[in-house]
Amino acid sequence: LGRNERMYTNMENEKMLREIFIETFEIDENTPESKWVYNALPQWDSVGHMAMISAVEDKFDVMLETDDIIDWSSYEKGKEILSKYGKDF
Amino acid sequence: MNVIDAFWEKRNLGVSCKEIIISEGDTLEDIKLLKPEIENIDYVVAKVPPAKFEIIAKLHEMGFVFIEASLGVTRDLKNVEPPGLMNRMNKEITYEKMLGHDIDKLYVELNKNLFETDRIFLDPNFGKDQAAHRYICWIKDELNKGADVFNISYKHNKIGFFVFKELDNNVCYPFLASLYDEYKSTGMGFSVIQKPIEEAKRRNCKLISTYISSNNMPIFKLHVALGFKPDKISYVLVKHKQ
Repeated sequence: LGRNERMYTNMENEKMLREIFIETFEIDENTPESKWVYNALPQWDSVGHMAMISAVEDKFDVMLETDDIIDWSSYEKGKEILSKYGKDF
Repeated sequence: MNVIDAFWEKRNLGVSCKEIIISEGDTLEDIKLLKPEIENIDYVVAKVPPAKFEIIAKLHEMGFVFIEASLGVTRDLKNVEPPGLMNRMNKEITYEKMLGHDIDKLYVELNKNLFETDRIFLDPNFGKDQAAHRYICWIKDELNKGADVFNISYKHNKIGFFVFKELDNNVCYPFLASLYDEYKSTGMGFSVIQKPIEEAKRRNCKLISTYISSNNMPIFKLHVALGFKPDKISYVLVKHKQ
């Protein structure tokens, strides 16, 4: 991919992940991403975690290792994990 | 109405305690008659069936406060496979009966903040240390009566536990379970419900039954996600001697 195409794909990935988070955890869009953390968001509990991971796997067409599912503790950490699967941000 | 002298709470919590189990047929007059019986008791717990507004109002008048709803949930054991992603993760999580040194480790873990939604933990008259001590005494009592306690492990790390007993009527009753503190917020919480289901199936039980506090919504959601159905509810009110 060229530089512009890469930038576009990265923006699309960011948009897609944001949408998953906002929809799954019913986040007010004004809440800063630094606060999108496991248990800090009321809906991000065990059941919410499973729903978010399932949506990520579906939308990004990846299958996460269990260690990565366990380590996914925040929005930022999630981006780091997805980059291991070739999904850049 | 059933009034139980919960003498074991003297050892567990350091207070005299009575538990009042109110039935559907109980009236306001029955509640009024309780007064002399509980007057000098340090800690009284009343369990009330739903929609008993007059009785709840009377209990409030007598100094009781609402602390939680206790939800009874059950699940049959025809198909014990967890749904979707949980099923994939579950295959990497194991459980086995605890040995002596593991039980000592469990008691150390119980002294951390394992049960933050427990009514003793939440009660300003008690707190974390009394809640932990009460759980340790409870587990010891139940182990002496034939209950079993299990480790839950992921990649050889012990991530949590459950305590489990079999009731007379082929019903299994896991009554205490938690992830250890360092494994909370990892998405593995489902295993503390799933592994008792598998143990109940292994024992050829027909039903698994337990209670959940309304103060613990995440664990209620997990039970629903894993196929449990609510089948009873009672309101729990408590009163401390002034």
